[in-house]
Amino acid sequence: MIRPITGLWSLLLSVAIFIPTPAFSQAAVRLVKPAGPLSYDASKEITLSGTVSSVLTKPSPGMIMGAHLLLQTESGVIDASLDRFALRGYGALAISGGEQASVTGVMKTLNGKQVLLARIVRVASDVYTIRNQHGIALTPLARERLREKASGQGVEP
Amino acid sequence: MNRNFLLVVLLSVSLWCTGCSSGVSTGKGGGSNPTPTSTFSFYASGLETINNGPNFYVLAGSVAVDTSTGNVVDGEQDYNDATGITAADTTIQSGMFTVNSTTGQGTLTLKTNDGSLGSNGTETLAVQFVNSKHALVTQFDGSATSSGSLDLQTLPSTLSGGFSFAWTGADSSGNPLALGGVFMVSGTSISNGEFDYDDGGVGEGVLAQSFTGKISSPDSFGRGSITDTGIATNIVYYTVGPEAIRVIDMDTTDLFIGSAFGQGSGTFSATSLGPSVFGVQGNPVGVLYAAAGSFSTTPPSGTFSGIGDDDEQGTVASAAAIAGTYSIDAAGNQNGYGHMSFTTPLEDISFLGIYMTDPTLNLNDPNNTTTGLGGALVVDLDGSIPAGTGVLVRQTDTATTSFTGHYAFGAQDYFGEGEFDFVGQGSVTGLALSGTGELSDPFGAFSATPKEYSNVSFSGTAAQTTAGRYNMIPVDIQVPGGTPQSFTVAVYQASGDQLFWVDEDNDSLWLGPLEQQPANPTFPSAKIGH
Repeated sequence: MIRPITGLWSLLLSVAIFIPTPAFSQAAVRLVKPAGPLSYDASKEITLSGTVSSVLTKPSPGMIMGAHLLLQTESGVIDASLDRFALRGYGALAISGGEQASVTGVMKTLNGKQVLLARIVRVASDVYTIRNQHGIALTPLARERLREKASGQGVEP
Repeated sequence: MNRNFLLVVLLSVSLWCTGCSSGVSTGKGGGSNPTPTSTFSFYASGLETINNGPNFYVLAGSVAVDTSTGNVVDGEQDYNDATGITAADTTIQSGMFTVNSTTGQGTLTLKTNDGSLGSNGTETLAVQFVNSKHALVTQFDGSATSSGSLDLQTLPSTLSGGFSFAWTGADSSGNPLALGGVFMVSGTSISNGEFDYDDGGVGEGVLAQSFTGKISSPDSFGRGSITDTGIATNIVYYTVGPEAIRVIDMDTTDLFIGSAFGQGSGTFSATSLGPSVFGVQGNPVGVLYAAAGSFSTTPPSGTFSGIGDDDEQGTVASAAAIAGTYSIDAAGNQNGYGHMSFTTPLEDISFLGIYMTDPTLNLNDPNNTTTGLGGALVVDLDGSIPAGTGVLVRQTDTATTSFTGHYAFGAQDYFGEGEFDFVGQGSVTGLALSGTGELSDPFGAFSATPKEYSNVSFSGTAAQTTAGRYNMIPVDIQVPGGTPQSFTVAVYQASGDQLFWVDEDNDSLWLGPLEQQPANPTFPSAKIGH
């Protein structure tokens, strides 16, 4: 089983994720971040908790591509988008129906439906990072590279 | 030997050699016996299944083919997935090039000396020639699927002057990345480099970064290196001709692929951009999206308006209005470096880098000097959808009567579980397309069993919605033994020679070209290697 990112590691990775990773070291002329349908504004994050109703490895018709987590909350069933990489490869999300979970993300209306673009999923003491703070889904390789960088900070798990 | 067969062979050889290079293979693996050869550059990118895939990978190379037998006699290539397979300067030892002389469709097998590549070292590309010098390709061996191009090389080629570039890939953290810009080449020096990039780990586009570097002279296969840029450590290029190179990043932890095109001898300004069709697509590491559209410009004011179609991970905008402002050479450098800023965005597409190219170049077919000329390379600089690159080409003919004849077509389709790619050819009569092709499906989009399919049927009828735009609903793709799968497609016409189509379904999306074939095609004839 691929070990989830837990405890101190999750803290380190959260820090690593929030450290900008500029590709090139020059004074940057940056653009203003646009507000399109898939744009991710971390200041608008919410956290919802509930019982996992189902884990969809493939989207149902009308859903955006990728895997989805249906979370039964007090307000009803929430569709949380896990994108394409969350359920496979290094650091994959291990979760199943009936478990208690909380999901942090930004709520969007896409294809006429509300969907939570999940950034963090917490299951018991395990913390899984699905997207970075810019809303970009982390590939298994990106998760592995983050783990390697966190290891390089000299802190043992 | 039958006299008629000999005549066919000799005729085919003479037709195939039109515009071909020096004719003597002097590559690294070749022997000393002169062999009539044509050398082709190739490049592609997509998803591999090997190495615990799916992983994004990039491939570029050059292959020399014996024109009398179809045997691959020599070649070299570079392959990178930045996660364990970084195979630089690999020898292509042998292989076979088989092409149907009527349709221009066939396969190219490349037997390398690296068993980690392809299927035990052998890669197979499905090939669809548009004309005798240019083909669309997809990897077709189950180890990977991808889309790219195969083009006759002019060797040797000396690079000089201004170039524009657009590259897509992933950074060393595994984040999606696209970068594009302009630079100058003089001898072995790169100067006046200016580029933009959009990195998924940064979250917004970054503009106007400067760079310089060095560019080596190419070897006999047109392979050279670009160093000391600060962009990546090991950048390799393969020449198509003096104004077209394929570029691949061969670092072990990051990768990108794309092209650089010459800018010609002229200068650029706002008037350089006129009515155009654009196509932009992300890569499998980033947000999955494909977009195409058309626009007209008002140069003095630097404004544009038009329509576009965009599918972003299953959210679709169809025939949506777009508008905004553009600038080229705002700093007065006349280097073709510019941007388009959308006041009416196309979903998340709101800011594009545009890097003007030689108005005498066809960006899809670098050897084509007569049709489909002019345009720019494009990088999407929106932080929410990083890694998108593409082209814009001049829109010169939107007449429906021009969308007729024989076409080669291809596309790179992303769906939630993976990717499939296809190449094919067919006829368009009365706006109805009917064709056959080869489809690479290692991730099981068309059946539960991953497979490479030949004799795939493609059909669809275009209905014009506005000048230069069609709906093609549905495009039906039927693999042998399967039921037709239907796709919702929009088509944008730059001219009768050059169109782009975009699939905009909830569960899949693609971008690809439709390129008109000559009226009397002279494709290489089928050859059987020894």
